[in-house]
Amino acid sequence: MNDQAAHIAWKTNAWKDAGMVSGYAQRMAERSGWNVLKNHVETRIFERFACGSDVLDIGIGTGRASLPLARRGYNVTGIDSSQAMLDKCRELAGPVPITLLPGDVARLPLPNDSFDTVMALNTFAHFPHWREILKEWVRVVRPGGRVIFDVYSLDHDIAYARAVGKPAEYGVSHFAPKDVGSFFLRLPIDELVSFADELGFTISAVVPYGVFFGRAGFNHFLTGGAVSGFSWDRLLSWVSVDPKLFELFVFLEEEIVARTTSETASRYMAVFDRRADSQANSRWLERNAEYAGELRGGLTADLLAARGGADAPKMRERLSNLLAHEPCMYALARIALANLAWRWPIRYHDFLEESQCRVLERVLQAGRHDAQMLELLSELGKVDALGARWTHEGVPLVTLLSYDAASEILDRAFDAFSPASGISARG
Amino acid sequence: MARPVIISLLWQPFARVGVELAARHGFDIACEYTLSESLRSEFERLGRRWLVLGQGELASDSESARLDGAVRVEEAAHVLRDHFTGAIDGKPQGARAVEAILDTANRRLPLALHLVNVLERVREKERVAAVVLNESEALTGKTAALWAKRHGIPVFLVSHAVGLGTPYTVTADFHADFMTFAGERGMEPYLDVGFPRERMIVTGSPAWDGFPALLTRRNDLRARLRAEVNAQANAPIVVFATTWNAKLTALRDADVYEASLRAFLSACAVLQRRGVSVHPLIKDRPPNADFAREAVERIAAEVGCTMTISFGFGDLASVVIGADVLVAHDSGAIVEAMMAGVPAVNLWMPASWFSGPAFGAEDAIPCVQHGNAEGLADVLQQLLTNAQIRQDVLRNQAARLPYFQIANDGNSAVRCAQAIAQRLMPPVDTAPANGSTRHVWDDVTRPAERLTPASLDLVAIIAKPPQRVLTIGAASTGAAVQERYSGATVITLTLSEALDLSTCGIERGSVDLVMLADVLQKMYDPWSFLERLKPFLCDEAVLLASVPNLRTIDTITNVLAGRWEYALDGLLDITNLRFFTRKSIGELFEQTGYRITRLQRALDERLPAQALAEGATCNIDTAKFSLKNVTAGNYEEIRTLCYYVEAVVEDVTASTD
Ligand SMILES: C[S@@+](CC[C@H](N)C(=O)[O-])C[C@H]1O[C@@H](n2cnc3c(N)ncnc32)[C@H](O)[C@@H]1O
Repeated sequence: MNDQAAHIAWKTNAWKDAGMVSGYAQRMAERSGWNVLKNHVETRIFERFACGSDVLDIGIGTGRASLPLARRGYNVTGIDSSQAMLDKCRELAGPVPITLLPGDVARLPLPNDSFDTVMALNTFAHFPHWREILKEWVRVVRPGGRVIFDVYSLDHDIAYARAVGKPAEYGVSHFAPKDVGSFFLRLPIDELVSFADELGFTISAVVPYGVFFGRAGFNHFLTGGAVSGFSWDRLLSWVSVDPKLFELFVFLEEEIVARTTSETASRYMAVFDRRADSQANSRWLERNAEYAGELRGGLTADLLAARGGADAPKMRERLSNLLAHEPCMYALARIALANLAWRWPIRYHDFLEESQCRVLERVLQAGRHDAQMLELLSELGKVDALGARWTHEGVPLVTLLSYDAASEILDRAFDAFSPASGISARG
Repeated sequence: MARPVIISLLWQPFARVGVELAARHGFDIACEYTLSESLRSEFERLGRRWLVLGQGELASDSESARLDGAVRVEEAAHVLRDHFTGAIDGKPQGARAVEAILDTANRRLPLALHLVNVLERVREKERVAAVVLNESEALTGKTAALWAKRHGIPVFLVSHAVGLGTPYTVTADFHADFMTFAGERGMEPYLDVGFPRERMIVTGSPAWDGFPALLTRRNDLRARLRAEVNAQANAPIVVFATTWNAKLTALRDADVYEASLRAFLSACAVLQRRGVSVHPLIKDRPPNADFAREAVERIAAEVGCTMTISFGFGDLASVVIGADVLVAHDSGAIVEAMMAGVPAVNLWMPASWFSGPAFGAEDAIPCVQHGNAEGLADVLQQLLTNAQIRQDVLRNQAARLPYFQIANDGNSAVRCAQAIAQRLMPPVDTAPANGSTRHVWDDVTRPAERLTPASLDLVAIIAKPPQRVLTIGAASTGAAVQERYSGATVITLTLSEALDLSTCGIERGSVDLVMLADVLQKMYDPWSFLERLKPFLCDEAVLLASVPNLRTIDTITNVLAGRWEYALDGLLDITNLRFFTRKSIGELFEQTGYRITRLQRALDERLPAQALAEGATCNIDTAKFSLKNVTAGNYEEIRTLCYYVEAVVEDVTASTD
């Protein structure tokens, strides 16, 4: 068995164990904030793009992506190599009619041209032989039908490399899977579109998603910052009891992230129509590259409207309503704080009310003051002439003072504690 | 040799940890405070020493430190003012920052200097095994931690709080080799800032060991509290625990004290208008009493709360146990209420969303945004008048408690001391446990693998990210490698599994890093092991091993004095079978076909570095004998506690040409 074959076998067999399946089902049903959001955003994309009536879900698993469609009357068929998964899916389907068949992603036990929509969630990205897989999928889609699937974004990896001043190759290798266990297929959008073009597909949409999902998302720009880790997960946990907070994150994902490019998030959903139009594909790629370039320069409402089809006034109104709820305002402020390190120019005035901008600006100002205070402390500690005089028995003395000096500096150099500059100052 | 000393800067509520370390684990303790009379005589009987640091004067500096500090500040003032005339790094705040740090130095530097002097005096006389602290960010803790670090003394940080918020600005500058936590929850903020999990230990908070005893007196405490505040029979006591702004970040409301108080009193006013009778009690700290009374009176008038409001300035636990509900803002007081079996409500202030939130949706703590007085009043009213809701909240909070405080059993100090002792080389004659005499050799059959500081050091010297790692011995070594190189595949084998590598499912030629943290000396036949290992290595494979050194001043003096005392750890660990010196380590690797590419040492800091000129020698005099004509090389060797070896397989073709 060569490496790739071994990999495919490993991935395929990983899901056959019954314990694994019930663990997976449980995980998918977990009410933790990020999981609730992820489920919602993912299934909504399928609901939005599914066409016709006959739907095939490949690697259906527990049916997370297509059971909602079956419940709404679509005629759903599910394929999975794991009988245990199929059993679980049947159980979760209850009275909803659904056809479930054992089969392999790359050898579907189905006739040609038999579905309007072929979809896969969290399945395509597990395998290295993606070209072979897509070839097989195109076979079962009816002309004019669709395929919808998610994959990891190499464009995001490279965008990150560029943002931190490294060559593209850094993005490719730094985030490269080290072994089969951590393998996820990462594709740049142009490579995917070119290959799909050869198969007679036309790109219909690319939907980046999962910037804010904490553990599940790993957005490189936010990793290690205020929008990551346990602390962020804890904030997200409140979406399961606070409908407004839930709506805020759905809004950010659907109205902002989804309208940008594959550079924004570590994952995207690709939607292709079975219709050959090479010209349309190259036009799309060209426009997409332009848009990505423009976005790197900053996020504005005009850009989102012109390139991403956003309805700017409506967006503003919805956001303004949501932000009247304080937890939403501060959750957004926290994202803006995380962006202080990322420094993506976001024109907040385009999206927020004047008073909301002021709240945000005060928070950002406080964040900057913290950072500058730390920088000052570290500069002070670096003065060479001090170093020699300010050590005692080998212990550096300046750093011992930083705790007490911090409040002095914040107070005296930045006036950080005056009523006018506090994060919740009014007006 | 005298018993090793642990320097404890633990705060008074944690004092029991030091007592346990002495009584059960055989360490002598040096700390700021003295013991009670009864403990003192108990210690004398056990032959333990309880040294008082700086004659209990750590909080104040000495005259000489004051002079020293003044001179240094004056010198620094010139340097800094010359260096930063105006801006630092383009920031106009530079000049003001310089003045701020100089003022801080004037106030605080003498204390830091004094503390270093005190610690140095201990180190001159004693073998310091560890420093145990409650904090390592503020002046005192940081001084001790950095001093310890400088001398290779391990630092244990016993969290003084639950750990609800992510460390920020200067609080993220903490220094510890190991940290202990009240519960799993407290670890999370530190995991978020990258502190390695294998150096965290959940023990429960020793400061709360008095809780179970207090809980048995609930009725009494309730009656006492009600009498003290003169509560009407129908008015349940609602405690508000105040919050302070430590002013270490700009991302916090400057006036969080008043803002949170206002939120609470506004809700009280709403309850009053609704005709729900309650008795508010403001819990604050004694030095704040006047300020608190003034603020409460003013704000209560502003928000129209005219009911009687009481104050509590004593111990929080007894107040909470005596109360009916507690309200606080992102505070450990909430966890105390959970322990007390009293429902707790958390107040969200804007800053909650930056450093926290302190509580998640699963934590069973009702949370209310500060501006929502009606909402807070609703929650309080339900908790006070709806028995079913109250019961549900209490049940859920009790179920969630272990996540915050692992056990409410009064034994956290015991667990904490045990965790610390386990990670140190214990003194030889540990105290008899449970009356029966224990010997070191009782441990001879224990599994030889356990976390040693060496395994951590070994991870630190990995030169290039590995792909496939084989570690033998402690699972924690493997975990530490995995933590650092998440993409690597790590296989960990126990010593007995390593006896036959061919049955371990390792592919030949696949391993590119082998980690042998303190294990070669535990093998019966390390020579053949190293030979049998080779086929499993790939071409560029690197082997990292730590091996204790036999040729130390300790072993030499001890053997000459007729002592060869096995211990629970270190060179004479009771599970060690083989002993090596620099020379025999070289032979071990060379004779089995490896080439040593790097050799580092962990030095015994008790022996000062000696600058010997090329070819010069010195003599070392101890109480009983002298070592003559010691060369620089000899001296380095006898100062070495442990060698860290990096080796590769010797290229046979190269050596035979
Ligand atoms: C990560 S799960 C995704 C399940 C579901 N779509 C979801 O998103 O919850 C991957 C699924 O692919 C299935 N699978 C793995 N290898 C496969 C293969 N070679 N052919 C078909 N299905 C496969 C697994 O059994 C599993 O149900």
